[in-house]
Amino acid sequence: MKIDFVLNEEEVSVDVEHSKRLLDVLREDLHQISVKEGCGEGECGSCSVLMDGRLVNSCLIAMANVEGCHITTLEGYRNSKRFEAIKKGFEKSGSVQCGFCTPGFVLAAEALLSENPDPSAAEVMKGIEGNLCRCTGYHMIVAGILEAKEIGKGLW
Amino acid sequence: MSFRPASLSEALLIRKTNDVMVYCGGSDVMIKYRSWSGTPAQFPKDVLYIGHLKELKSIDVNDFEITIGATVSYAQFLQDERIPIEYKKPVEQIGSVAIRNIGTFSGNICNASPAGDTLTMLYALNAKVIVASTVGKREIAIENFITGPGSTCLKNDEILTHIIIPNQKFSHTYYYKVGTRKANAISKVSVFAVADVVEHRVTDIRIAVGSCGPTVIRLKEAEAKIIGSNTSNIESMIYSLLTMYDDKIVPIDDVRSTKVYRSKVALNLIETFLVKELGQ
Repeated sequence: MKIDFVLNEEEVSVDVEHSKRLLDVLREDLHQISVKEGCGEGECGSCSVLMDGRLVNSCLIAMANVEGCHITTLEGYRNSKRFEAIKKGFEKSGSVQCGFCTPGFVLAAEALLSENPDPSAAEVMKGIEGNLCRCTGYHMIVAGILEAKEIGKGLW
Repeated sequence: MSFRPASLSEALLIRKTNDVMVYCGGSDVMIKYRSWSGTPAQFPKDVLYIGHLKELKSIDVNDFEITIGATVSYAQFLQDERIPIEYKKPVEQIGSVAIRNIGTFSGNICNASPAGDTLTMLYALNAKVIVASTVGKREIAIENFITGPGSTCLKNDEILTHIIIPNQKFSHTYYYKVGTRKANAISKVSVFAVADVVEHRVTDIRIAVGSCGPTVIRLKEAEAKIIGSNTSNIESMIYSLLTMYDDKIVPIDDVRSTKVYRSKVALNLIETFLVKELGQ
């Protein structure tokens, strides 16, 4: 089946089965390797992408539901000023250790800040509730997002 | 084979002429039927995708009813300012941000898990569902629609199109979910309860218990016993009430919890609602 959608502001067309996961199409057909498969069942958030601006787990999305949507991966998001703010916040706070979960956390932070540009620590924790990190213990990631909202004030 | 219809009427026609399973948000079925990494999900039947249908993507609210279309996500429900905040409580604890962006009430209902997180609320509020086929519609009370764990009375040619929640105000609402962690937890036990208390007298009460039997449990005989009582008398009735619930709460041991724990916690939650919440 032919599926047309927009990936990082560029129109793409893929010929795949409707039941293929967005995760696999992004990684294997479109080489978006920031999108990681962790659990494959919506628990860990490593495969997070933005679908029409909203955070989703790409392992739970069948390609049939992607037709006509705007998908943003870290490969596209990294060219934005907002990403720069999150990157600086994460660097300053030591939010990245092994890095496997980081693309998911960055996009979860974007989804949160675009809805609520001035979140409290508790709201940040709620915003990243679906993302697992086995290295940092989360405190540094929460600190990184709080740092990013200050650095990027006015961007969201 | 799979189908991606352009409208509900096309979807109903496909449902009538093909043996298909209906796919809405996908948050349950993509896990249930997932296969090896890199390969498509292995669904047991041909699939009818309806998640994109715009005509089912709206919420209508009037003084009497809240009508939720089948493809409305939990996130859309939570963002709707017309919905009473008490009804949002169970929904904001479902899954995670990303799951709530795709998951739907209709999927939760048709999945018919005894642990379905919207179901306790829907049972307590006397919600109904509308199912449609090419020949017409049926309106079915939620407790009659769900017939057992994973089973409903949805016919092979029907699609659940709307969920209707009576838009009623209660003096008391209560929701408590017990899970292993705050996010992405399937309930071990959950209780959603509402009551109306007028001048210390209970005029209406409904208590729905999840994950404690083949379907959500509501004990109308216990509720009838409480209606008409003065709230100050409930504490003296509590032992006999909890005994009634204890008889009907029949949880199982599984990977998430044990039946002993579930029974105990369910009764504790019911007691908390009746004594602490209503007594205040």
